[in-house]
Amino acid sequence: MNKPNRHDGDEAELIERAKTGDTKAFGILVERYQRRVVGVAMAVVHNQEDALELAQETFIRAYANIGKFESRSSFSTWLYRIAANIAIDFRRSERRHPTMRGEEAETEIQRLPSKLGDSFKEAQRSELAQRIRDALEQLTPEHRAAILLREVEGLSYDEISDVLQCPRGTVMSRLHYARNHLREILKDFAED
Amino acid sequence: MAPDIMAPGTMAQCSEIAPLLGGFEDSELEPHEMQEVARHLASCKACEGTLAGYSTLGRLLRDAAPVPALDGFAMAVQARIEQLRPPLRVRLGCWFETERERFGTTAAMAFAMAAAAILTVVITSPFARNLIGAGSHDIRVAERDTRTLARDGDKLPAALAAAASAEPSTIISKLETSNPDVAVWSEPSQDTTVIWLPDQQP
Repeated sequence: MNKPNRHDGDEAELIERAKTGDTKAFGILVERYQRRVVGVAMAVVHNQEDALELAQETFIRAYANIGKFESRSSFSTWLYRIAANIAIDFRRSERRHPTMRGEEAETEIQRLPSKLGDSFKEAQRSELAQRIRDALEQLTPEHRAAILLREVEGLSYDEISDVLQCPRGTVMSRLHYARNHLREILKDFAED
Repeated sequence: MAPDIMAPGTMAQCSEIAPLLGGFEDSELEPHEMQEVARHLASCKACEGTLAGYSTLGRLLRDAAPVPALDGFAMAVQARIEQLRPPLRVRLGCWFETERERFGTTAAMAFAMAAAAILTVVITSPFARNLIGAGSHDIRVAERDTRTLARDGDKLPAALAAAASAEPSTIISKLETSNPDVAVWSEPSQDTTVIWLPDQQP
C-alpha cells in the first residue's frame, strides 16, 4: 500500500494555497487522499456506494473548514477524522431510518464470475470474499472499523485512535477481539 | 491457519502474551514488549501459529476489500467546490488584495486624507470643543473680572458700572470716553462701538 507521505514539502504549500481559495491546489490534495478517505468511510459504513458519497462530503467539508486546520497536525489524520465523523453520523441516521437498498445485490452480481472466466479458482475467490464480508458483518461497527482501518487502510494505532476518537488501549483491545473473532469464523474455510 | 495449541507449562505465559500478539504483528509495541514477545515466540508454537493466523487474516481482508471506482471522483468534488461560495475569510482576503493593487500608489495619500478627515470630525465634536475651550480661559477670566468690577461699581464710572450690572457677561476691553455718565466701548468681535447712556437702562 502506498501510504501518502504527509511530510511532502509541497503538501504544506498546497494547504496554504487552498486556504486562500485556490481550488486547484485543493484538487491535488483530493486526488492524493481520495482512495484512503473512501477507505475510511467504507470501514465505518461498509457500503461502497455510501462510502463514495460520504467521501465527497468529507472533501467538501474539509475545504469549507480548511482555514481551521493547523499546520502542526497531520492533514491526512484531520481528513480521516472528518470522514469517520461523517460516516458515523450517517450510520446513526441509517440506524434510525433503515432503508432498503439494492446496492448490495448489485455488487454481488458484479462479483459473480463471468462466463468467460468461470474457473474454479475464481469461484473459490468469490466465495472467500463473500465469507469474509459475512464475517465482517458479524462484528460490531466499532470492531469492524478498527480492523479495516488497520489491515486495509494501514493506519497506525495512533491514527485509528484519533480517527475513531477512542484511547489507544481501546484500539488495541478492539483489534485483538476482531482478529480472534474473524479467525474463529474463518477457521473452517482456511482449513479447507 | 494453525490451530491454537498450547504447549503444557506455557499456558499462563501465553495468556499474558496473547493480547500483545496483534501489536507485535503491527510493530506497535514498546521496545521491551517487542523483545518479550519475540522471546516467547521462539519457544511457543501455539502463539507462533496465532501470529501467522493474524498475518493471513490481514492478507485475506486486503484481498477481499472492494476497490472503489474513483474515476471522476476528484472532478466531481472539484465541481462541487467550484459552486461553493468561498469562505468569508477568503472573500475578505481577496477584496483587500484587489483594493491594495488598485490603490497601491495612492494608499499613503488616502490614508493621510482619511486621518485628516477623522481629525476634523474629532475637533468639531462637542467633546473636542470642550477640550479646546480650555484655551479661552482668558475670555472667561475677563468675564469674571468684569463681573467683579460690576460688583465694585464705585470704582467704575457710573454708566460703566450700570452697564456691567445689566450685562454681567459683557466684555469691556477699553473705555473710549472720560464722561462718567456715558460709557463708550468697542466690541471688535462684533465690529461695533457701543454707547451706553444711563436712560437706556432697563
